[in-house]
Amino acid sequence: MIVLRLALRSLRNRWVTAILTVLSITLSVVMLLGVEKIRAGTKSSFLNTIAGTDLIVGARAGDVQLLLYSVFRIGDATANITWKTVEDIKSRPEVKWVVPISLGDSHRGFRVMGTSREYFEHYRYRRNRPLEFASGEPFNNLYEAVVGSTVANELGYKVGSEIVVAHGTGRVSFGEDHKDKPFRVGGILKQTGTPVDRTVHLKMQAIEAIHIGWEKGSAPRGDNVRSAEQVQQLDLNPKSATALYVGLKSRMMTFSLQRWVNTYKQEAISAILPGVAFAQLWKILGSVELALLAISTMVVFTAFLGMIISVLGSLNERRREMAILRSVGASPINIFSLLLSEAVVLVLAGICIGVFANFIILYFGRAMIEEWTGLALDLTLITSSEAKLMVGIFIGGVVASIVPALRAYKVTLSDGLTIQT
Amino acid sequence: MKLNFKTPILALALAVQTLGVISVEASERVLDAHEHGVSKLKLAQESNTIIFELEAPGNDIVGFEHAAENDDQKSAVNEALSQLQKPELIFVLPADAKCTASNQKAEFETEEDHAGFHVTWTMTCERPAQANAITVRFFEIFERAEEVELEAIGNSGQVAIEVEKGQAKVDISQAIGE
Amino acid sequence: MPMADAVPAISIADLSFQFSNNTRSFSLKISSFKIEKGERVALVGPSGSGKSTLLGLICGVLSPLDGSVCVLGHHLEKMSGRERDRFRANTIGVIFQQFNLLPYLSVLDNVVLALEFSKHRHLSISNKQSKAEKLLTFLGLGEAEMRHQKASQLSVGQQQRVAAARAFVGEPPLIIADEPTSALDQDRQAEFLETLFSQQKANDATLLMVTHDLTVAKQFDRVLDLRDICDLSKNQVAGS
Repeated sequence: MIVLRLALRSLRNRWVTAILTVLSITLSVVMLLGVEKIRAGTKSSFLNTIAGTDLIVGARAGDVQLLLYSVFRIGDATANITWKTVEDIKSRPEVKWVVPISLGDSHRGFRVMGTSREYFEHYRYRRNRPLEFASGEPFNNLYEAVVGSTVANELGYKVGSEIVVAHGTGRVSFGEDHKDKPFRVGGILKQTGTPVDRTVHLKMQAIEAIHIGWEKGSAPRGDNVRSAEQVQQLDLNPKSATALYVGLKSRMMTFSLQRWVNTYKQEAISAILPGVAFAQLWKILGSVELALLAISTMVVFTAFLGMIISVLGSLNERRREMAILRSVGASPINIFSLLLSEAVVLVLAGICIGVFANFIILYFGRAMIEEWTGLALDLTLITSSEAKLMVGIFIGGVVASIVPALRAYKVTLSDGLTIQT
Repeated sequence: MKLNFKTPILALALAVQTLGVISVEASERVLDAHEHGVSKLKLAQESNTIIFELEAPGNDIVGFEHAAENDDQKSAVNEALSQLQKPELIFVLPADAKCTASNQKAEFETEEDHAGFHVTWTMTCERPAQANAITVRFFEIFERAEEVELEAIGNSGQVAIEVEKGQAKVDISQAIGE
Repeated sequence: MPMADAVPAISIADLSFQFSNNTRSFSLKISSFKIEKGERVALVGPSGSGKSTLLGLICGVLSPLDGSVCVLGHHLEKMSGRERDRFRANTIGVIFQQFNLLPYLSVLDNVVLALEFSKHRHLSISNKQSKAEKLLTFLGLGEAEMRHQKASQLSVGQQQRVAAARAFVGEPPLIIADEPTSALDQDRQAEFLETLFSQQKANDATLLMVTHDLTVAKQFDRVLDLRDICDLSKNQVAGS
């Protein structure tokens, strides 16, 4: 079609402007797609933070709150679960395994979590990936810690490094710590992209051990002081847990055990389905993802604005050209289409190059992104939701292109064959 | 620089501000697990079997929340029960999954301060992987109902969906299906 | 059916036209005039008197407020915009004073352009090109390398000849020219007019050309002074 041919020739003639316009659209599309990929990656990594656990049990609280402290170590439990209750749950016929966790202390800004060896066996993330050790192994003795990859990297820990646990969870310790009972790093976990990376794991018994004599809430004095060796002789069986990860013999029993826990009379506890709580939590975070998307969409429209300005700016010097086209029989609609197709070609080129560039970046950068952020991004040219986004952008681009085209249409109608000023 | 999961954590920190509201709401639900206009549907799948459990407040189904006191109310309850005897026609699984219903049990349970319907049933499916969506006819049949809180567990994971009146099809592939 | 030759090339009756934007308003009224087929008519008049407007009306890119503009027996005022565009593409060749060519097209493509919107548009590309090449050769622009040059690389004289080639390609029966010689020096002017006339004769076309130059006007069959045929009013909007 003649109009499209003319549009391409005309663009080639003004190639510097054309390339710059395409470049700005390309960059904005790369940014939009990048944000979208990261959003999708974050969501799936987030929703897959924990798998394989059928129920999480904690002191009675809202689903999301329980999830936040038990999985993300954010906030605190309203109360702990007594060990008697833990035993009751363990002895339920539906239950296959129970992993207790105990929170409350910290180490240089990272949360310290007491748990059992089974934690490393049963914790699953990203569908069904188990935790793996980069070096070392699960606790062999009381004073051994297993640290997540971020903890190890940021603090430069190797197997054998010595660490001291601070009492409480403040980033700055108020001089109260458990330096009388130092720990040795016995294992370092591989990166998971989950809060596990930022956790220092101790044995449940070790949590008990370091708190011997702290019953009044402050460091023991005088007769209450026990050395690291002395406490090993004492009863270190845990008295309570902050939360329990529970695995069941059959999924079919999930709801009935949940009901049993929620109506447990002796203690106010509740059980959540982690997947359900994650879905609730993600809904709250939905506004954050929307904001991200909105910002990058705005960048795209800024690029379109740039395009409109450049086409409008060239319009005056092109009035001659339009009069010539009119003289050989082009209709005002043809002029409109010419300007529209020029802009649409720019938009389309920008989108296509953008999609492709994004793929190239992803292809080469994926491994690095995963190493840096723990975010596993899917290597796809374009997903269906991204395709929808691109169609939306394209429609937006076409609408934006109508502005200068309409202006040209009006000018050409009043100009006729001579240029009116 | 290592970022390590900071973005989600940041987002979470934002979310925590909103949490006050949520935890209050949730703990109220523990005290009084029933909410007008909201029914609960739970389903769990393992291999070929999917078990369903529906709890619907009496108000949503028959318009009152106490034992039937007169003939009108009795017949309303009976009519509702007879419809709930075939729950597989109310929450319909895809035909491709080739499921058959069994063990349907529908009861009208009354307590001191409220009454509700409790329905359980089992679906046995030849191709459970295809049972990844539910066609909801609940709102057509029981016009007072406003919302169904759906929780599903299956080989693919767990999912929670709030199904609003007017929504005809619900995707549960996050829980069931491969 | 009237005899074909009895139909004038251009006939205008009771025409009134008005143009206004926020800086000025302008109006043109012509009670009647005619140009017969095959005539060469020079249109003269002071600048701003509405010569270009009249050409716009004849070409059908401007619409009269009232009255009739009849070109080769077709009433433009009764046609839709689309029909007038089509009619112009098929019937009228236009040459401007200057900058006649699209700078981003080659010489050849600039000539072919006139066929793209006309009844010849369905011809194959090679057919269109051979039509255009024939004409270019005839007008002394035969060298192959010149045809593929960008129009902007030509001299003004060459550009005007390419414009003439474009006006004549497809043999439109009416040629409209708006001071096509004013940018040329004496020699080139004479050369260009010679080309114009010979081609007009060959095509048996009617030629209406605006000019300021009385020595140029003298070479036409008839000189039409716009002041003689119209009652003109033109005024500046106060204060702008």
